[in-house]
Amino acid sequence: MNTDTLAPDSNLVPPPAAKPDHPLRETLVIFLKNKAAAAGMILLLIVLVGTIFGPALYGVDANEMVWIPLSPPGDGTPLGTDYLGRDILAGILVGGRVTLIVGAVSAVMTIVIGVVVGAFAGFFGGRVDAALMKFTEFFQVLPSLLLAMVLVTIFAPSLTTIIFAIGVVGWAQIARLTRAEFMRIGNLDYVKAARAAGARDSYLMFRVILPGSLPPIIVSSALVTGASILFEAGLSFLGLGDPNTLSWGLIIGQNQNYLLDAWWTVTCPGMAIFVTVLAISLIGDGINDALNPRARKRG
Amino acid sequence: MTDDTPFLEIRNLTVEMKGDAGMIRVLDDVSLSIRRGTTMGIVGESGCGKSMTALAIMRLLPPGFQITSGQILLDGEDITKASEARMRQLRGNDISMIFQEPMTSLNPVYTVGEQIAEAVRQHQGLDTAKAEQRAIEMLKAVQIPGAEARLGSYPHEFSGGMRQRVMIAMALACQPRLIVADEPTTALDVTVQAQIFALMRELQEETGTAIMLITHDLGAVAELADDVAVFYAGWRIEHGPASAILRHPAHPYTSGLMSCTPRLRLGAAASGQGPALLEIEGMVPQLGKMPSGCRFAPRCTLADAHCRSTVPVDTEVEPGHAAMCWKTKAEVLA
Amino acid sequence: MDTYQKVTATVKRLIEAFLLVMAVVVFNFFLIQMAPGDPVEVIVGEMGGASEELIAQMRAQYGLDRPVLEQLGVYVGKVLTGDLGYSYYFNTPVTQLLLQRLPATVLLVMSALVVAVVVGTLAGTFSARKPDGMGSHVVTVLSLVGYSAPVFWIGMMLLILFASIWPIFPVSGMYSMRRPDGIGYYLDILHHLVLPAVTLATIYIAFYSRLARTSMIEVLGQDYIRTARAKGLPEGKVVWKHGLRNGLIPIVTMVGLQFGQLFAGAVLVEAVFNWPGLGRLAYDSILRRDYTTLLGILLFSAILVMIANALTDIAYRWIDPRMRKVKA
Repeated sequence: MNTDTLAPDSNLVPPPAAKPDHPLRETLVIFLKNKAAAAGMILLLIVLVGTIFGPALYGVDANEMVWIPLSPPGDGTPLGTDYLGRDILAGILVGGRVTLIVGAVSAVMTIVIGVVVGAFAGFFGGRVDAALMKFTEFFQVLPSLLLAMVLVTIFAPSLTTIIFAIGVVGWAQIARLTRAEFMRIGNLDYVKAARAAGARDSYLMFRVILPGSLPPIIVSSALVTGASILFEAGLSFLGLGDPNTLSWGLIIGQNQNYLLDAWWTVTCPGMAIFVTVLAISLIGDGINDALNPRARKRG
Repeated sequence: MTDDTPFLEIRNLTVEMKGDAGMIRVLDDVSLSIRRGTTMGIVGESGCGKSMTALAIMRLLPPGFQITSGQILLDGEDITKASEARMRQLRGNDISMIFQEPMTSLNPVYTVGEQIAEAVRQHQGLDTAKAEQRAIEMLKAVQIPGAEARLGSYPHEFSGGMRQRVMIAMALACQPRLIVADEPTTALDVTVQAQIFALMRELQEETGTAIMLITHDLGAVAELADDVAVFYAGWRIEHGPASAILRHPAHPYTSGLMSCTPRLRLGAAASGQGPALLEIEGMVPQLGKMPSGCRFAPRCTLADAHCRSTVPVDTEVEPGHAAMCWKTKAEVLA
Repeated sequence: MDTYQKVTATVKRLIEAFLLVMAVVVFNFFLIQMAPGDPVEVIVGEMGGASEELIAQMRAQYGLDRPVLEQLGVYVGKVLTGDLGYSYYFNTPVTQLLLQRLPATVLLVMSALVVAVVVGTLAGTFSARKPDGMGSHVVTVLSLVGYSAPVFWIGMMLLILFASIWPIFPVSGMYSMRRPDGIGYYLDILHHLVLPAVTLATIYIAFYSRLARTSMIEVLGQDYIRTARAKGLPEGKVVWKHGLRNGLIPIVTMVGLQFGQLFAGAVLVEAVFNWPGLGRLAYDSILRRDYTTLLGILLFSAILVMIANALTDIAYRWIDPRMRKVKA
């Protein structure tokens, strides 16, 4: 909008680059050229390798007392020990597994629920839309982290409950976004043409409209994944994680009372969460820039 | 109220835009002058540089655009060298601009009264009450019914034509000596256009302000302008008194433009000069891909090898009327 | 618009809000139904056991032997009269408990919100004036950091820095052991408030500065900004008067939408700083598995979110005159 309005003689602005032959490839190229996104990819790769192979390579049992409790980094263990004398580095390496699994699976759940609700609301409109939007509004009124806490408390903390709780609370934004995209694209000529040709609703929704509305959904999926990881961290910090599985949030929560005497017990696991979510945010930003090259200069 | 000394004089103005491959010239060595109390019509297709001229006068060129050479003399003062503070004194006070998009050029969150009054407060130091009084007078001057009551209305409560009147009221509020009107009626329907033009002419008679009317519509020029400058692809290709240009254009582009304007075709259409004149064949050349000779040559039916290889010079066809064309001979074009 | 339209619109909105609250109440009831154990079991557990007859008698007394729908009716009736049940752990009616803890949370959340919106908007606006400048990159980087760090961890890092290494702020709570009198009392609360409020504000500063930057870059490219410049207004007036009021519109919308998240963030922050508000209460109820209190907080927070939405709606209409028309 702004370049056009600033230059009333619109011919003066060089015409936009011709549409690339392979939009996907073009997008990929822009994405790969983005330094921040590349940094995000590398960070995420380090986190993944660390959590998958780290525990075996490091070889220290994260649940065993291996050294004097609360001893600082470098004094017997690389990142120090917690109040039970457990190795913090070992805890970080193995604790990432729960965090990443919960984050990923519940993010997928959030996105699927959001997309389905939004797709039906946007596609059918009218009463279906009104009802589904009331339903969405209901979930927007309940603070999602608080609702997740309540659900986990009531259904007893376990990996499944946590994934379920995080998965069902945060989809409202995705639903709104998908609905808006479906409404917009549903009115475009090629969709009207497909409809006129007698395509079935399910085909129209998921084969015709959905692919067109994917870009913004993909971008917010990165945000949702980051948020899910932060949710998991928050829940296990509050003692609502699976008590039998070590996770980053749990290590922080368990050592909370010692933080002023032993900063390393909370600083390092927190850093792990931060780096992971940062990596995903950077990748999400990179995808966003690659999908909307015009917005990059402004946004 | 007319006066023969030029109030605004543009000398050899060049404006360039930062492109991917160096600077691109959007306005090339343009000169023109406007006398006090007169109206200069600037005509051309979109992209010819006419809006850039207006923004250059206001020193409000979009980011990436800059004046690279030439002078803009406002009553003898070269404003291309004026400080930003000096420009702020001039804008809205000595030079006002009416933009082409009345729907988006007013701020949606402030009342029209406030938007008119703030310029008055800014430049003339009037207090709130007096500035408001001036705003009411201005709304009356542009014939908005119920001016007092409309003062507290927001832009979205006005129609397009009424908004453009508000824009004009805003531009006139400080009684500027020059009004730059960039396609003031493009967004409006024909009857409203006529009203707006009548209004501008009336206000000019009252205040003696000079007007630079930018338009692609030769009909508007015929109605309002004393002098005309025709722009093509960053060049000012013809200029002179409106009556002379409209009667016998000296540049093939101008005559082409005139044949596109039904109101001006007069006898031409009646005598059946063919549909080819309804529009000029071809496209305006892309910036940065200008032909080496005359920029209009690729679309010109009269162009020859010389036209295509050598940049034409400004040739006077009668006193005060000149065109940038090798083929400029009144008998060829008449 | 006439008064009649105004009144009907308001009434319609109130009814909608009421129905939404009722939906939350019903949802809450079913969550209670699903929670393991009922009040009688809890009491019996605290008493260390009871006879079958006593348990049956108590169940009848609490209406737990009635059909579910009847229990729902009773529950809704109680909620409507302001009775959210009894917390056996805290030995207090839940409503009373919530009202006691409300002011501390409102203080924390509102301070954080004001700081976040003001700082975020200022930072975003400054950086929007030069989208490719240094400040713009700083805002982008900081907002990424703020997005990505867990709020409770930020709180802990601030504690380590400003309560341990450089101890200028208290470690926890809302009051000092010896509560000073007069103005000192309020200053003491303020002193305690700084770290938790800054913690909670951090993530939202990140959020709002990014939002404000995007919004202001868009706004500063609009035609009416050029009009303001063409009037000869100083750049400050162009940006802060003509630009900001328009740029605020999406920010205000987001304040309403984000309020629930802010409230949930308060649970984590209050847990870290031992701030005696609803969030800390939620944390304690989670630890004690005090479902009645926890669900009371959930219902309460939903109502708070709706109030916040109504307030942002008013602010929205005030900022944007185009929104003042009543939708038919």
